[in-house]
Amino acid sequence: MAKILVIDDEEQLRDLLKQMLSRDGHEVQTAFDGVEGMRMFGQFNPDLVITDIIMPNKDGIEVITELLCSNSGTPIIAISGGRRAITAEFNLESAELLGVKGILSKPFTRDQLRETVQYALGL
Amino acid sequence: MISKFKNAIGYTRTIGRILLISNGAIFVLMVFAFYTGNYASVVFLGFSLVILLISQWFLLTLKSTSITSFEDKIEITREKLNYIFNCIAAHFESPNPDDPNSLAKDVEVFTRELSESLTQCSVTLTNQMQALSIALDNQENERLQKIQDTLLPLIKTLSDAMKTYFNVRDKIDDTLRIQVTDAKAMIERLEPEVLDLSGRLASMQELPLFPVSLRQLDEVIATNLQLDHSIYNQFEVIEHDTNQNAIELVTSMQNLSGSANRLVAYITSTITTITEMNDGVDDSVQFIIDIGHFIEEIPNRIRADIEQLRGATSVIDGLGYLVDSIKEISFQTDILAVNAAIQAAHAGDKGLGFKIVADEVRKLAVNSNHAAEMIETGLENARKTIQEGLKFKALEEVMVQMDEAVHMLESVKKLEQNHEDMQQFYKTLFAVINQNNITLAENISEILSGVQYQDIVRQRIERMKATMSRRNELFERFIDELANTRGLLTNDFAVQMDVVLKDYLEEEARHSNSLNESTEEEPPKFELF
Repeated sequence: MAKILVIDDEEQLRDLLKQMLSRDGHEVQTAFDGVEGMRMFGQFNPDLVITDIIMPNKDGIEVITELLCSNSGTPIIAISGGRRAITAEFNLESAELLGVKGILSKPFTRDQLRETVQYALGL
Repeated sequence: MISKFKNAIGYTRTIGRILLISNGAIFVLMVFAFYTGNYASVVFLGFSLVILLISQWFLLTLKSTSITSFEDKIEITREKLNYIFNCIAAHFESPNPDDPNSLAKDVEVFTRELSESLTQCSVTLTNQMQALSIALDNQENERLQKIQDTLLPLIKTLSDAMKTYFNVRDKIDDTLRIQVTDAKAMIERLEPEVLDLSGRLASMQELPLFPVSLRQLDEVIATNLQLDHSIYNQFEVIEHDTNQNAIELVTSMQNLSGSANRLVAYITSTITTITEMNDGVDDSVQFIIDIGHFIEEIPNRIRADIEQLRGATSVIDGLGYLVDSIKEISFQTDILAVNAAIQAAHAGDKGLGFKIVADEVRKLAVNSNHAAEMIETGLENARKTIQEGLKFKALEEVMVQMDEAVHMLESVKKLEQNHEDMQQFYKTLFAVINQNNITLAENISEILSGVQYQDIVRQRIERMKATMSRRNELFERFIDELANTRGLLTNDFAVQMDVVLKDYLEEEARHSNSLNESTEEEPPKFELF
């Protein structure tokens, strides 16, 4: 179906996303932070990027900004669960204002993920 | 007329009665012929009876049809009369000045129409009279009365119309007479001038420049038309572009407003997060300030401890002379011991010497006792001083301070987390605001371009205005010269008008090119305000 790059520092969620998306027929690659994510973006050339917001080294906001500035046109889905004072709502609202195609608040269901991915891919 | 109607009614009634009596008579004759066996006469009489009945029926039908037809014709005649009167009235209200003969023509037409109408009315009336004279009988009185009622106003109207017609004709005759007289007077008055003008025209036609002026006028008008066409085209371009620009301006302003509103809502929603983070930082900072105060107190406490210890040392130092006293006692006791030994050696005056020794030993005992008391007091003071110094280090206080020291680590950790959160928060916030600022800047740039375009429009209109002004000036000079020189033009106005047109087209082309170059090669410059 589509090539999807998942960027998340939580290994468990990363694997779960890969499993769920692969089951829907997508080709999935994963990265544990923004630095690795951007590197893999150049190699993998995905049709869709799913990125967490709060991550070490390079966070999701930086990834989104870089991808949008590169004018690659690749749609982005932002996911976030928030941390301490930084809420998920704040992170996702920020991502939305930056121009991502879809947002998902952790935890989310498989149907929500599928629906958001299909919308972002224009299916 | 009424008497004729009445006569006609009488005739018709008589005819009806005759026909009725004839029918009765023929019927009696038929019965008689039947009884006498003359069947040929019966057939002939029967045929006659049928013909009479048909005639009677025809008479009744004709009467009814004629009445209806007559009513229609009365209405048509009334309409025609009204039309004629209206035409006459309209003519007097607004005569046609271009055609002096129109009045005569109209009068002729009105007269003819009125005559036709009256003739038609007359024929209709005659016909109706004849029809009525046939149709009248006893059963039609009511209908006849109705017709009579209708006819009376018609006849009156016709009579009035005739009177009006004659009045109008008289009036028209008077007017025509006056106009003809005036026209004759005017012709007589104008005749010399016409002759003079005719002479002048003949002389001007002999000059070669007059046709040249006309040709030039043709050229000037043709060039002017081209100029008008160019300006019209320019206006169309301006109208189209302004319309497009207005739509784009509105769209950009809507986008700008939307972006600004979204940003404001976003920033407003972040205030809660900022407040929570600030509260967390304030708590940690307060805790660290408390710990700081505690640390700040430590040197004072140490200083107080040193003072206390110094006090204890001085007290202990104060006990030094007691040691000397004890040493003195020891020395005296030693001397006493020596003396006692010497005295004992002499053993002479037994008892005297030992009495003195006993006294000294008693004094020594007293001094020793005193010294012992003083030592006891000094030691007591020293103990108290040390206890006083140790009051600050009560066990409970030490425990609390130890707890605080442990919590301080926790607070520092919390502060570090707050710092991380704030860093993350502000980084996100700045990224969003920055991105939105770019969008806002783009929108503002579009709006500024739109506003700049309005200035370009103003410049175009100014160029058109200047060109029109030049054109008008040229026209004025052209007209003046034409009037003053009677066609002998000294300037080539066609060429000058052509220059005005070319100048305008060249200037427009130059501005158009510069505009295209600036949009193709570099971003728009906002320099025209």
